[in-house]
Order: sequence, then C-alpha cells, then structure tokens
Amino acid sequence: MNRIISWIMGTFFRWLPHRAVTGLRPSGRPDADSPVLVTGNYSLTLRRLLAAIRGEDAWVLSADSGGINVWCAACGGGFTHLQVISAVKVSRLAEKVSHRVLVLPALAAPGVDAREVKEHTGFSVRFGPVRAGDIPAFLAAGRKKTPAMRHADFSLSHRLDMLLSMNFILWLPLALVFGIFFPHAFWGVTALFWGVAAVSYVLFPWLPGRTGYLRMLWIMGGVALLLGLAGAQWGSGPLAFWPWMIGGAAITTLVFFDAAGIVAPMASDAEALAFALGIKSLPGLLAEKPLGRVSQDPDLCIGCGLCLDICPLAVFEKPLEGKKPVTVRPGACFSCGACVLQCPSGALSLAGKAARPGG
Amino acid sequence: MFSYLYMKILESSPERYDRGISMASLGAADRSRERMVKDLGPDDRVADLGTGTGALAFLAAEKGATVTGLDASAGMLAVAERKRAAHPAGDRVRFVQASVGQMDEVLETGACTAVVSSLLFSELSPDERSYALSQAFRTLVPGGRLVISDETLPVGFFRRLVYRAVRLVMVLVSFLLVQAGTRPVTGLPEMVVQEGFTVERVEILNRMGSFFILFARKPETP
Ligand SMILES: C[S@@+](CC[C@H](N)C(=O)[O-])C[C@H]1O[C@@H](n2cnc3c(N)ncnc32)[C@H](O)[C@@H]1O
Ligand code: SF4
Ligand code: SF4
Repeated sequence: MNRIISWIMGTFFRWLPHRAVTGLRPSGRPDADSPVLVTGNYSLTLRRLLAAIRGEDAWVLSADSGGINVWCAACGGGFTHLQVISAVKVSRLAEKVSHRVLVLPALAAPGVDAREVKEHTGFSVRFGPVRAGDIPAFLAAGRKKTPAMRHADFSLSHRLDMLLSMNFILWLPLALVFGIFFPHAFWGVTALFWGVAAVSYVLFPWLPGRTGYLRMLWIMGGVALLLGLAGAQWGSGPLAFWPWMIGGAAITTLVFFDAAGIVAPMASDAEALAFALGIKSLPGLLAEKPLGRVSQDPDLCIGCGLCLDICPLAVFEKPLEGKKPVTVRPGACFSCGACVLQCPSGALSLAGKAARPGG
Repeated sequence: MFSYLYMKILESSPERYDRGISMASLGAADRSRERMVKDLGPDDRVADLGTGTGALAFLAAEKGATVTGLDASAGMLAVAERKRAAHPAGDRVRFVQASVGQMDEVLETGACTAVVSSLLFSELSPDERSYALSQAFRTLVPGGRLVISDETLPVGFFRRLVYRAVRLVMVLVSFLLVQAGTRPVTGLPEMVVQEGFTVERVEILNRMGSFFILFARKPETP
C-alpha cells in the first residue's frame, strides 16, 4: 500500500512532499564497519536509494527533509546540518557503528554544513555521488568519485522523467476546469499542454537564451506561428485561432514557470522571480541567498579540493597534480552555494556578477 | 519555490493551529492540558517538548512554574512568542527552537522537575520517541515527573473501527493541507519503563478511548 502511494506520489505529484519514516534502516546485513549512507525522507528518493544499493551491506540513515527531495530541500534551507545531526543522535548511530564517517548525497552540500555535523556528532562527512545508481561503484572504489559521478544529470531520460512528474500537477487543475466548464475544449487544451511541455522539455538544452524565461519566448513564438499558419490554411486568416494563441502563451508560461531549475543546470527562474517580487524565503523551500556567480580568492584557497569534489556543474578544475583548484568555468555556476558553504578557508563567494537578470 | 500556495497554507497554519487542534480532538486536547498541569506549582521547573504555540507551557506558568518550551518549528514559536508578550505569566516562560535531537544540548542534566508534552509523540518517528524519553530521564531530577498526552489506538474491535473511520477523514484533510502524517502512539508505557521511569497511571480522556495522558516518574533512587 505504501509502495503504491509512494509510486503515485513520485510519478504524478512530485511537486508535493511525501514523507517516509525517518531513521536508520539496514540494507543487506550491515555491521559496525559498514558504510552509513545519509539521505532525506522523500519517499521516492529513499525507495530509489534502497533499490540502487540492493546487495550492498550498508546502513541507510534517513533524516527529515520534510518529505522533499534532498536537492530542493538543501537549497531551500529545509535540509541542513540540523536535520542530519538530529538523525545521527536520535538513531544512536554512534553505538551501532565503530567508524565515524557519513556519506551524504553530493546534492546535500548546499545545505548541510559538514563542519557543524562533525562538531556536534563526531562524524565526518563525505559527499558521495550525485546519482544513487553510482553508489555501489563509489563504495567499491573506496569512496572515490569519478568525474561523471559528480555531475548533475540533465540528460534526455532525466528530462522525460521530469516531464510527466512535474507537469501532471500543472495539467490537473486545467483538466478539472476545462473538463467541468468547457468540455468541448478539454482535449484541445490537453493536447496543447502536453505538446508544449514535451517539446519544451526535449528541446530545452538547444533553445537559445540565458534564462529559462528567455527560452520560453521561442516556444511561445513557435506555438503562435503554428497556430497562425493553421489559421491561414484552414481558418479565416492568420488570427483565426486567436483564443488558442492566448491559451498557448498561458500554457507555455505555466510549463516554464520553474522549468530551467528542473531540466537544466541553470538557476531557478522561479527563485529569482520570487526574490524579485520580495518573497525572500519560504520555510523549507526557499532561502534567501546571493544569486551571483562563484568567485574565488586564490590567496585564501588552501587547495583542499573540496569545491572540485562537490560542484555538480564542473566549475572547478585541478590543473596539475598538487596545484590548487581554479574556477575554470564560472559561467556555468548556477549559484547553488554548495562550494561556498563547504570551503574550509572561506575562499569562495557568490558575490560575483549575478548569474541571471532579476537576481 | 515549488508549490507556493501549499507553503502559504502551512505558513499561516500556526495562527489557525490552536483552534484547529481543539476542534480535531473534539475538546480532548484542551481538557488534557488542564489535567496535565494540575499538580504543578511554583517550585517546578518544567520542559514542554513540542510546545507548538505554547498552549501547555502557559498553563504550567499560570500554576507558578518556570517553563522552557522546545519546538523545532520557527513558525510555531513565532506565534508562541507573540502570545507570551501578552500573557500575564509570560515572563516565566522561555521558548527555544530545538528539535528532539537537540535536547542533549538545550536541557541540562537534572535541570527539570517535570517534563511535559502534548501531541508531540504522534509526530515523532520510533527512534525519536525513545530518544526523547531517554533525554527526558536525563534532564529530570530524581522523583521528577513525566506527563505525556497524545492520541492512541483504542482498545476493542468496534472502537478501533470507529476510530479508524474518523481518522481516515482527518488524515485525508490534513494530508491535503500539510502532508504531515501522524501516527497514533502505541506501546508508550512499555517504552517509558524501558527508559527507567515508573508509570503511575494512564488516563483515557474520551469515550472512544483514543486520547490518553500518561503520568510517570523518575525513581527517587537509581
Ligand atoms: C500537534 S503540535 C502540539 C503543540 C502543543 N504541545 C499543543 O499541545 O498544542 C506538535 C508540535 O511538535 C513540533 N514537533 C514535531 N516534531 C518535532 C521534533 N522532532 N522536535 C521538536 N518539535 C517537534 C511541531 O513543530 C509542532 O509544533
Ligand atoms: S574548497 Fe576552498 S580551500 Fe578547498 S580548494 Fe576549493 S576554494 Fe580552495
Ligand atoms: S561553483 Fe556554483 S554551481 Fe558549483 S558548487 Fe559552487 S555555487 Fe554551486
């Protein structure tokens, strides 16, 4: 029953939190030396993690992320060292394992301050791979990440996964309103919605434009153009289908509301919009933070390599063995703040040029 | 940044919270808090776990006790602070933002003569429940009191059936609003004993048998 609910929530209602019971779970037959994998309590994440490590002997420690996925919760202030510290203490982990290392998802790095965790629990934090599927290989390699394991996945398959799960809940209210009040337009609106959503999600990486909202204009224009052509061909003129053009623009706006943050390594437009509108924080979802691109003070950097290890967008690079990591692609930074929080020497900041207009 | 509307509902809920709870429990929550603080007096130093908007903390302060209210939610505590400013016994109450997992940092050993908690345990995971009890034990003086009220599963087939039916509706509504599930608290007396307390009595507050107060004590001599 729980699995079915979790599947339904994960597939159709991914925008809504869905909480799993927090606490320590064994995977396989872990003992005092087995690794401890920490994650949030979004039921879908937890289910995928447990499935990904089937066959490994490990402890899975689920901390309270408010039923939201780790990345969103960590960026929005709902998954921090406080939740991790609490989970470690409450589960009495220290009595169950003899080592003192936690493996956290790399995407928790924007929220979980590793030094605080160490100070309050005695456990040091290692940031693991971005994808749960890479965890067995990561563990087998002695907790070492390959570059591919570090980078966030915005591949086509990720985008298609998001297509259904992120848009269903946007479509649902439309479907209800049109199904009840304007049944004759129901199928048209539905086809338009999913057409726009599918094309947008698939083409997103190739649409020109620095922000998601700029890229949105291409889709809007495309929809208007197609409808205009259709009107000229089958209707009374290019503007014959004008209500659909307006509807198409509205639907495109809806689909693009937060698309950039979902399907691309780009800062969230919705976040910048909220900040611009004066909404600085929403508990657990949105936290006030600078939206500039990363900049590095080479004099402060001690060359520990942590930033390189946790940046999901390969902004940093280590030029030669023994040299300090340098920011080689500051333009790719989308201001998640992970490296700034974790850098032990305060060498990094997001004070640079804003990654996006309106931020 | 996601469902803005939903967050708004959550955010504004602390204000509507007091009325909501007393309605949802058909008055049992209000009655239980009165009974929980009945034996407290000016000599008591009390910790109220999961204090929320401070309902129980203020009642204890009205008896003369000094109270520390702990809660993980900043939103709840903001409302509690507002109430405190207007409350005649408000200067005997202090609120601290801390989750159950931080009890070891905010409550000193032997600092309390009573630990009270209303409607918190149903929101805790099994781990958190036993941790909260062990920390309560540590912070209490010998002979100190533990008083916990919450929802439980009624005894008896028919009552359970009625309870489950009513609860299903409540769960659906609360799920739509806040996605926060609560679990009725079962097996608490056993857990309390396991942490070293002596259970004095368990009172059942409503006819359905779904609302209890547990009174326990830390033994005088270990
Ligand atoms: C149902 S309210 C009860 C409030 C109050 N005691 C009363 O009787 O009205 C539960 C409270 O517990 C808090 N809470 C839930 N989980 C908690 C945790 N792990 N640590 C501390 N507080 C928690 C919530 O923030 C909420 O304010
Ligand atoms: S994390 Fe900070 S100190 Fe470490 S390499 Fe990066 S910039 Fe330098
Ligand atoms: S460089 Fe930018 S994207 Fe990379 S971790 Fe730092 S803030 Fe995040």
